[in-house]
Amino acid sequence: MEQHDIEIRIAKGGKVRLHVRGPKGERCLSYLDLFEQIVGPVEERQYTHEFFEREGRVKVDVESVQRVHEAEP
Amino acid sequence: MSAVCILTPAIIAGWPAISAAVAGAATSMGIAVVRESAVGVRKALAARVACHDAVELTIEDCEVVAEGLAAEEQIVLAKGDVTLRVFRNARGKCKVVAEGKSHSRQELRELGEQLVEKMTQVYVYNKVMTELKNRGFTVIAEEVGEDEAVHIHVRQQMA
Repeated sequence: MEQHDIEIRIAKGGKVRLHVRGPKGERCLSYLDLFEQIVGPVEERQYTHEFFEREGRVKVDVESVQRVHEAEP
Repeated sequence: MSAVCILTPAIIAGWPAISAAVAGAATSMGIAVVRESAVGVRKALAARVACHDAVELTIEDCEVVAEGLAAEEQIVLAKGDVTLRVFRNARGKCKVVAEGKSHSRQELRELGEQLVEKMTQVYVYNKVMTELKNRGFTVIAEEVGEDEAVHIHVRQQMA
């Protein structure tokens, strides 16, 4: 089971710093949108390399080549 | 990790939520809540602000929804000989007025600003925790730092 962690820092004055760990790609954006609705507008945003990774299955195509040599008479 | 983000608080709330934030801030600052409603003192208060006997602060990015709120309703706090009043003005803005005869305007302004900062923090905390619990997040850890910032670690399990 996948788990998504969020570290939240609420400073005096109410400014919020979020650190989202776990979700890759655009799934992470849904958390940022959620907090934007709850708290207020985004002042600054930084994406890490994990954000740009894709989630989901990996498809592998395998091609096999066989060479058959005829035996000499 | 996926993303780091900083958000600025914008408060649009009814008076009960504001009142709860003020009460929470007052408790953490060691300020007593004297009374929740003091009808009929607004005009006298405006006069004292105009004469520089009191300092008035506006909470930025804060709009108080008027539903269920009496026109003169306010929260009165007391710390020593300083009185702080939190109320909604006719335009929906949340105001804080600090007065105390033995204190300078600078001291009153500083105390008022501390209250505003703290109540904004408490409001954001209450709202974040309520919304996250409603969405099935689990609180893993929570602590208050030396700088009075609240650190919360939450987790959501995905099937």
